[in-house]
Order: sequence, then C-alpha cells, then structure tokens
Amino acid sequence: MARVGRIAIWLVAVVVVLAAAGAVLVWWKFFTEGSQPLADDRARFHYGSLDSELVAGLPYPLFMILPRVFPDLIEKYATEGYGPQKAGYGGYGAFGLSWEEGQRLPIGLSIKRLGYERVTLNCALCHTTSYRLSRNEPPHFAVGGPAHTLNLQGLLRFLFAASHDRRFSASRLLPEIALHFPLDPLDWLDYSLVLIPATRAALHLAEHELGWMNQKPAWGPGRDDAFNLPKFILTQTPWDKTIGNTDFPAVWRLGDRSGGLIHSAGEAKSVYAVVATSAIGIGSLPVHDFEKRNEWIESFIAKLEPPKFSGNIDPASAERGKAVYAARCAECHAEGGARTGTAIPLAEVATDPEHVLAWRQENAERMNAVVRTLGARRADVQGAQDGYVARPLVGLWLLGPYLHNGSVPTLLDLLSPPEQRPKVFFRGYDVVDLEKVGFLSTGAEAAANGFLLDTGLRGNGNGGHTYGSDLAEPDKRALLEYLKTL
Amino acid sequence: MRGYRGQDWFRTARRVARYVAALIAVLIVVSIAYMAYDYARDEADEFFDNPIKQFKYGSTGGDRLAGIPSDIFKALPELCRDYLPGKGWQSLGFIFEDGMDRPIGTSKRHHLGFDRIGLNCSVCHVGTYRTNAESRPVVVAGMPANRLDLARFAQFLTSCALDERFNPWQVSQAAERAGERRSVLKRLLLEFVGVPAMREALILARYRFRFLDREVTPGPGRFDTFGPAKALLNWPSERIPPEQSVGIVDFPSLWLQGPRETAHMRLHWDGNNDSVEERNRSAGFGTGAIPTQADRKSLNFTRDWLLSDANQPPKYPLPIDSALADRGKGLYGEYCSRCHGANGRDFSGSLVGTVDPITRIRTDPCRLDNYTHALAAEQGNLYAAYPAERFSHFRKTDGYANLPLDGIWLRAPYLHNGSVPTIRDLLEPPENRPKAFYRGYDVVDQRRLGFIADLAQEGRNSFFRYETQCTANPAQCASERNPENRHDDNVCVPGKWAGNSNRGHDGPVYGTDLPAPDKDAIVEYLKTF
Repeated sequence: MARVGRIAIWLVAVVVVLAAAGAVLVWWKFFTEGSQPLADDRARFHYGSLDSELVAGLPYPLFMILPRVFPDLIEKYATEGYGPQKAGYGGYGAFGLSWEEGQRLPIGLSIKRLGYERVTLNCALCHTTSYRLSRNEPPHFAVGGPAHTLNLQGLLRFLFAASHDRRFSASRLLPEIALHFPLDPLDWLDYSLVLIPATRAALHLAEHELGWMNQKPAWGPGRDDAFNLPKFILTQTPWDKTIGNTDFPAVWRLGDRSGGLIHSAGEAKSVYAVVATSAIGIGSLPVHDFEKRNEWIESFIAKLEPPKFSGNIDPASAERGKAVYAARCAECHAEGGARTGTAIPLAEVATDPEHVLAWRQENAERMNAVVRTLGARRADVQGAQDGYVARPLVGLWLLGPYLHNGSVPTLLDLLSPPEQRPKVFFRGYDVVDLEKVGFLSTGAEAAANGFLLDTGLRGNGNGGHTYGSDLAEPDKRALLEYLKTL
Repeated sequence: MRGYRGQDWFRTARRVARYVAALIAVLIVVSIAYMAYDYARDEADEFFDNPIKQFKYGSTGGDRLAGIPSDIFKALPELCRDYLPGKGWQSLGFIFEDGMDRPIGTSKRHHLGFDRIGLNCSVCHVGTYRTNAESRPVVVAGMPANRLDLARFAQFLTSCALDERFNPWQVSQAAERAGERRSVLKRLLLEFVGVPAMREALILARYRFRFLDREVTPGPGRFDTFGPAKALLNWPSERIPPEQSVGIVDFPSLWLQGPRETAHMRLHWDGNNDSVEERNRSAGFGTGAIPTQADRKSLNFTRDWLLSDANQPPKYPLPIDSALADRGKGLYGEYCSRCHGANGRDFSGSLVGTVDPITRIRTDPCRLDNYTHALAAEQGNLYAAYPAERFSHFRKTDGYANLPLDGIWLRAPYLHNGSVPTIRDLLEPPENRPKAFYRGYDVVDQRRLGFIADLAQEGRNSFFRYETQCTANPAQCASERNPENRHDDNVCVPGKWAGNSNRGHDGPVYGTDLPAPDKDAIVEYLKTF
C-alpha cells in the first residue's frame, strides 16, 4: 500500500508541476501586458490603447496580412455603394481610415501587447478628419474632426466575409504571417490551434450580433447607427425596426459644452459620460485605469482646436455675415446663446426624426443598468430628447455633410430650402469644396469617388432646419463667408 | 523433424534476411538523417575578404525565398533557348566573369536541401562600359546595370516554367548537359520536389507581376521599382488607375552613399525616403529578402561597403580637354551646382538632395504619380516585427529629387526614366532631343557623354529601341492616344508611351538656352565627375 501511495504522490506532484508550467505558459503567451511607447498626447489620442485588448483585440500579425490574402474582399466591401473610381485596394486605408505615413496602422487603431500584439480601436478612428484641398495632394489629418471618409460598415463586412472564407485557415494565413514575423514552433501551434480559430469564432459572433444592420439602410462613410449599437449588442434588446444612422461628430473644444446636452438628441449630459460609454462600446472594461484614462481623454478634447479654413475668406463680406449670424443663428449656435446646447423640438427643427425614435428612455435605463453593473460610474445616459441638440459651431468647414444624419452636403445647400437641396449626392470623398463649404459631393469627380447617399431612404431625410433659407442672396453669401471662420 | 536439412537452410535464410533487413533499416535511417541534415543546412557562398566580390556574388537572403535550384538555373537557357534573344543568360545582359560559374548579381546558398541561385543588389547595380567597340567591357560595381533586361528575365522564367518542356525529365537532362552531376537521391529530389515547387512559385509570381502588362516595355537598364511592393501587398493592378500604373525608372548608381546618408538626402527618384538603411532594405525586398529571411550579416557588410569612401565611381578613362572643362566648370557652378553639388565628389549645394517640384522640373510625371500616399502608408507595415528596422521614412512627395552627379558619365541614359541618351542631348530643349534611340549598348559616346545610342545592332546583338513618343508617320500617330506623349498639366497621361517622355528639365534655369559651345564646355567638365 505504501508503495501505491508513494506512486500516487509522485503522480500528483508531476501533474501539479505540469499544470503550473502550463498555466505560466498560457499566461505568458496570452496575457503578459506590454506598454505603448507614445511620443505625446496627440500620438496617444491617435494610437493609444483603451485597454480593450481582452474583449476586442485582434492579433496584429493576423490583422495586418488579411488585406493581402483577401484582396478580392477588400475590393468588394471597400467599393460597395461607391462610384467606379473608389480605390478598392490599399489595405485598411481602402475603408477611408486616416493613415499617417510611417505608421504601422491607420489612426484610430492601437497595437498593444497582451500576450501577443493585439489591435483595438480607439476614439480617433471615428474622430479624425481626412481632407485634401486639391486632388493632387496627399491628405491632411485633423485630429478630433469627424471621420467622414471612414466606411466602418464596409470594414466590418470585410472582416466578417474573410472569416467565412476558406482562406481563413492556418494553412493559408500562417505562411503569409511567416513572411513578416518570425514564428517559433510554439507560435505555429498557438496560431493554428488558438488564435486563428478563436479570431474566426469571434468574428462570427460579432457578425451575428450585428446582423440587424443588414436589415437597415447602409451607414455609408462617416456614419454608424450610434445608439442601436449599444441597444442591440450591449443590452441585448430584441432587434426592432428603428434606424439611428448618425454622422460621427467632431470632438473639438468639447470643454465648451459643459452644462449643455451632448449627442445628437441630447442622450448624455456630460462629456465624461460620452467618453466612458463610448469606451465601453469598443470593448474597454471599467477596471484599472478606466476612469483616469477617460478623464485624460476628456481633458485632451476639452481644448482641442480644429484647423483654420484653408481657402480665401473675404474679410469685408465675413464682417457683414457676422451681423447676419448674430441675428439669425447665434441664439442656438453661438457659445452662450440662449438655446445653445438645448434640444430644439422636432416640431420646430423638423429634421429627420428617425434618430430620436431609435433611443427611448427605457433603452437608456437598460443601458445604465448594464454599465453600472460593469462598474462604471458617472456614465449614465438618457433617452433621446424630443428633438436635436443645437451645437456651438466649431470647425464648421470640415463638418460636412451637415445635419445629424449628414443629409445635406454643403453649407450653401443647408441655407437653401429643403426642396432645393440635393436629393442624392456623394459623400466620403475628401476634397474640400471651398466654394459651397463642405466636401465635393456633386459632379463627376465626387460621383466617381464618393458613396451615393439617397436622402429618400429612411433616416436619410434632408428636410428641416430651414433657418436662413429665406435670406437674400447677398446676405446668404456673406453669412457663408463668416461661417468659414468658425 | 530434427536434423532435417531444409530446416537449417530455412534458419540460415531467416538469419540472412534479418541482417539484410537490419542493413536496409540502417541505410534508410542514415539516408533520412542525411536528408534531414541536408534539409536543415543553410550556407551561402561568402566573400567577406573582398567587398566588391561579396557585393557581386553575396547573398541578401532573398535566395532563401526565391532562389532557383542551381541545376535548374543552369538548365534553363538551353531548355527554353527560343525564349531568349540570344545564347545563354548573357543575352539578357547578365555579366559573367572569369572563374565564376554564375553571373554577377547572383548569390548561391544551400537552403532546404538545394543549392539555390538568387538575385542580389548588384544584378541591377553593376554595369559595363567600353571605350571603343573593339575593347573588352570593363565591369564597374555600383554602376547602373545598363545592359540588364530584368523584365525580360522575369518573362523568360515564367514562360519557361509554364512551358511543357519544364518537366522533371527534361529539366534534369538539361541540367546534366549543362554540366551538373547529382546523386540519384538529389536528382529525384530535384525532379519531383524542385521542379513542381518552382512551377508553383512562378505561377504566383506571374500573376502578381501582371502590372508589367499595363505599362511600356522597360527594356535594359530599367524596371518598375514600386510595382513589386504593390504586388507584395497584393493590390489588384487592374483596379489601379492607369495614370498611377506606370513606374518604370532607370537603375540608379550606388556610389558614395556615405555623403548621401550624412546629408539626409532624399533618395529614390522621387525622393520618397531619406534613410539609406530603409532604402537598402526596401530594395532588398526586390531580391526576395523579406524580413524573416534576410541575411543580415551579408546585408550589413554590403551596406558598410556602400557607405564607405572606397565606394567610388571610376575616373573617366579617356582624354579630357582641360581648358574646355575649366570653362565648363564656371558654367556648371552657375547653372547646375545649386541642385547637383559643387562637383563629382563635393555634394554641397543648397538644393542638393531636395525634391524639385514637378511644376518646376516638368519631367515625365508618371513615376511620381505611380507612388501614392496609400502605398507610403502601407509600407509602414513592412518589417513590422522588427521595431529597429521597420519602415517609417516613406513619404509621398511632389516632384523629383536633385541627385549628386558622381560618375555621371556612366549613368546614361539620363533623367529618372532614362529618356535622354546623352548629357549633350539633355542640354538641348526637349524638341531637339532624340525622339527615339537605342539602349543596351555600352560604348562611351565621348562627344555627347553617355553611351552611343543610335546603333540598332552590333553583330548578332540587337539593341532596345526606346521611343519617347510616337515616331510613326503622322497618320498612324493620329490614331494613338497622346501620340506626342505630352503631360502639360504635370500629371501622368495614359497612352502607349506613358512614362517615356523626354520633356522637362529645360528652359533658361536648366541651361538649355545656352549657346552650343557653352553646352560643350559643361559636357567636358562633367567628364571629371
């Protein structure tokens, strides 16, 4: 008996040692945390991690080579809905991401090690404007501006399609990875047995969770369904027929907004709540440095300035326009205006109502319950108000197309009566329209490169906000001149 | 049954059979062990005692990825001789030196069980010159490979590999005829592993290199240098707009990289990078030296040599009229030195190594438009696993870089696209420059400086006719798109001659209005570079 006992003890000891070694290996391969060397605040905003690696991190080597293995899928999903000259290549840049030369990935994508290097999203993905003043120059990037070129839906659909493709297998992906990354035998096992199958499964899950977006009009570049995302995914509310397609907003000088309502329909009352819920939305868990990081983001965008208008401004005309602005716009749009930062009732502003209808008080309460359970504080949101928030106008020349749903291509169009506004136009083309103020959205060049937006579709209505459409032509021109300076 | 003779016989037979089986088992084990050892062996030919030889025959590591089994390399010219313009690799412009069994620009490495031949830097950066048609060619390291037709080499490989003759039996037979002798084991490995694997690889390469079908034929001394980068990224070339699809440029010289590095000059024709290290690694990609396969020891050795003072162009070997050159020196100082350096060794000048905007230089814009912001951005991913080596210096520019003119007498034809045969022609207004000329000849044109370019044929060698625009009769030209190959808006205009324009680098500031004797003087002075 004693001998059997001794053997048993030895066996147990061996098993324990092996298990411990295995645990250490797993921890080391999958969970050791790295740091990010980021030069300054701007770099941190562009490329910094929100620590969502655990929930939503894709292995960088795998992520990097996907466009090379699936060029046909890049072409399909980067050009769907666009004109014939839209580039269907260029890696992730094909989806309109802002990609600074010399960087590993476009702005808004972070690479951080958690066991292995993982790619996650951050605020800058949707809040960096890419623009050109002429078609023959490389793009400029305005940090904090709306990512009007970003085709987020196309990017997601690309990843989902890739995950269903036969090529999404270790036998095809690993040799491509091995061209660029040195892999030891353990890495081969790791990718073959864990990372590639797990990434595939995660993409399938994400696709399933986003299935509702295929039942609604396309987001198109520069937009997402801002509140249906948390409604259907985070709070697992049954899918409904609402449509909340909304332009990515600018986050310039958000410090000026304290006290007012934030989000298109006033769904939040503080910048902090917007930052915290947005971070949770892209997979950041309310643990560790969650609050500290959100506060840093809040402070960074509080004073973030837009670039100045790059074209010519006629100072005399702008001066006259200033008076028109003071008389007709300032009440709602000037900082400190009586109604600035409040929700203007739908009955009054009469812009497309769908966004307001998509997010009710019960949706907000459900979300608050989930977010509080996760452990986040000061992150409460509320149901959409009965109307849209009148925002202070900051960097207006780069905010096109206009209105919350991006349904009016230029400021000049916005100052026209709704029936004279373009019924279809092309968005997502990044050459600035210095005349009408906005981006080139009609004409051959825009049609060839842009995404066709049909204002006749649900959620895309271009009516309402008729303020100023009654102005005499010279006053309108003068006002436009002044608006360039904002 | 004891003592039955048959049983003894049976026992003996069994014992013998056991020995034989054991012997066979040992043989199998030894063979497998040998093959495993041989498969794992990774050894390149190295010449670290002789930097120039290492440059000419050393490895970039590209042979690990793209190396052709040496038997096949030897067999190919004979096997598919009808796809070559003449006899042997020489007919594509490869240079053979005495004592080497493979041309300049090739490395040899035993890798994955085969001796494999790959390309290295020198395939595009070693050229030859002759002082007259009767003299022997002088081989110059660091000089543009003025006679090498790289595109035709690529075309030859794929044509041959996808030909019926490229089968195990004929390939190994051709290799034996070319003097290669192998053991049975090696022969079988070559026939049933090497041949099919190479065919697979070339099918992939042919598809990825289909961008070449969308531009002019490069001819000797030129190639589309960023096309391969786009191919690596698997950009679908048919989706790339035609005005961005033409990227053919001349091979540059590689002398005196040290001063270029020190001054952070913009490198590549459009100046898209200012790091010599990165430029080297980027060029290495072209030989197959991808990050995980690069031979860093050899690459660093060659880099150091390229950066050293010893890496200089040879002196002009023919008489120079010193009085005339002296006069030219003054004119050069006045017209050229600000952009091109004080002389052939002193590269000081306020604009040397900077980018001259396309609106000013107005040379063919196709190569500029061929390199895009999207490509510069994606190149930030290359060498991503190696933080110290990762590409981070590529930038989209708006013109072409002002280069120092060291050894300019060996760098003909001129301009980034090699569209002007001689220096003297470059000093003429574009309308007086030759509309068509021949490339691939290496006899120095002493009067005009460059290589003799009006010779269509010498003996059995015919040269490549380079057309800068339509040269047929007006009626025929009228039916072509952009027959004069104009690019008045400084953007690439698609057409049959796109990328080949000889316009630009002209007008009063570029010296094309000077009287003829002044131009001759400048030419004479440039011989001293």
